[in-house]
Amino acid sequence: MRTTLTSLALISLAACATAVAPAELVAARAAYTRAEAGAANTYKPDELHEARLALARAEQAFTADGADDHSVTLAYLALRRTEMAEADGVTAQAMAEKQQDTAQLTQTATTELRQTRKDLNQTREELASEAEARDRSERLAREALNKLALVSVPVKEEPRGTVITLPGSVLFASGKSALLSSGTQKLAQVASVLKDQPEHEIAIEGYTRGSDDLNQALSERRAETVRNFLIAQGLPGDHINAVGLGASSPVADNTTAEGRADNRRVEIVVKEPSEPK
Amino acid sequence: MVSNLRCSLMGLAVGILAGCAGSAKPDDLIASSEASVKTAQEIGAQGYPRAALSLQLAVDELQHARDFIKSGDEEKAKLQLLRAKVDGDLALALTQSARAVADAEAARERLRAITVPASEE
Repeated sequence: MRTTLTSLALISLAACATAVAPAELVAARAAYTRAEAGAANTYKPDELHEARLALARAEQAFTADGADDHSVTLAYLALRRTEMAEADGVTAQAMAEKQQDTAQLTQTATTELRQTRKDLNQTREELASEAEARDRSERLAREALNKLALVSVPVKEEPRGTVITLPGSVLFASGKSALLSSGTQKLAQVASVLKDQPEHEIAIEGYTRGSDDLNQALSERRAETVRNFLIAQGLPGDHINAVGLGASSPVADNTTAEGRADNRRVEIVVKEPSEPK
Repeated sequence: MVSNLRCSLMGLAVGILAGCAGSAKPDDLIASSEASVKTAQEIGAQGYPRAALSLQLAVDELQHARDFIKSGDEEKAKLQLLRAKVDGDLALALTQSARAVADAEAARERLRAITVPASEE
């Protein structure tokens, strides 16, 4: 009896072993396992559930009827059903990611736009401020020129700057470098104008009519005297340079008394402020 | 909408395979399979390798079904039509998926372009 039962069990096991699952069913099982671990589980659980039901029907058909046409077709449908759930899961995940990235893109672009507008406004304000400062400087310069014109001081515009020419006869006695009272008065008027333009560099150039060493040295001393006077009047010393140029750059003919008088002079060159970098 | 259609057709397939095959008309199955294939073709499944493969399977299965109908084997024809239908649907799903992934990648690139500072020259 026991031998008979054992034989039956062995026969039954042998029968099961021969019922090899069709490739479609094997593939459907693997696909379902893969889909469960993928995006479908999160984004398309309903489709994944339908795929599981389809796989269960295929398994039942295979258990009941083996690998006949119907059970194989059910396995094929379960496989495709699972693959569709996977594809739709990937689609839903991609759409969600795109939506998230697009929202972040919009937020970032908005933030950058705000910053750009802020920077633009700041630049506009800076430009307006610079323009205002430039206008003010030009207005002061015009006013200064007007003031100098009122006290009969020759002023001319040259590429090197605004040039104020003071005749040597007004400033100094012949061969001397000490200021005359008339020169002091005239220079004080010039100094009061230049104090309104502290941002300008000033060059003081002394000229004589003679070209020898004595005249060269005299032109240097006179330029230095004017510089010291302007500093004493309150102008910043680090903005003022003095140089003696002797008989170079004559402005008139030295053969006439009038020409020689014109060549004996001190020029105060008020340079334009350098452009902001 | 596409999912609902798929569900009802899946139900139809189960019904057929559960023993109602005799009541299902091959003409109805051909119409639904052809519609599935046509939809996949219209959205450009041929342009995506995996989708193109599924589409080709659907087309081949549809042709096999017609051959079985000609030879009078309606049962085998119906099974082929069911396969054609799901392969057409899968081609559609894979096409949509490939496009969605490409769109998401493009959005990510746009975001990266404005959030990652340009390298200094």
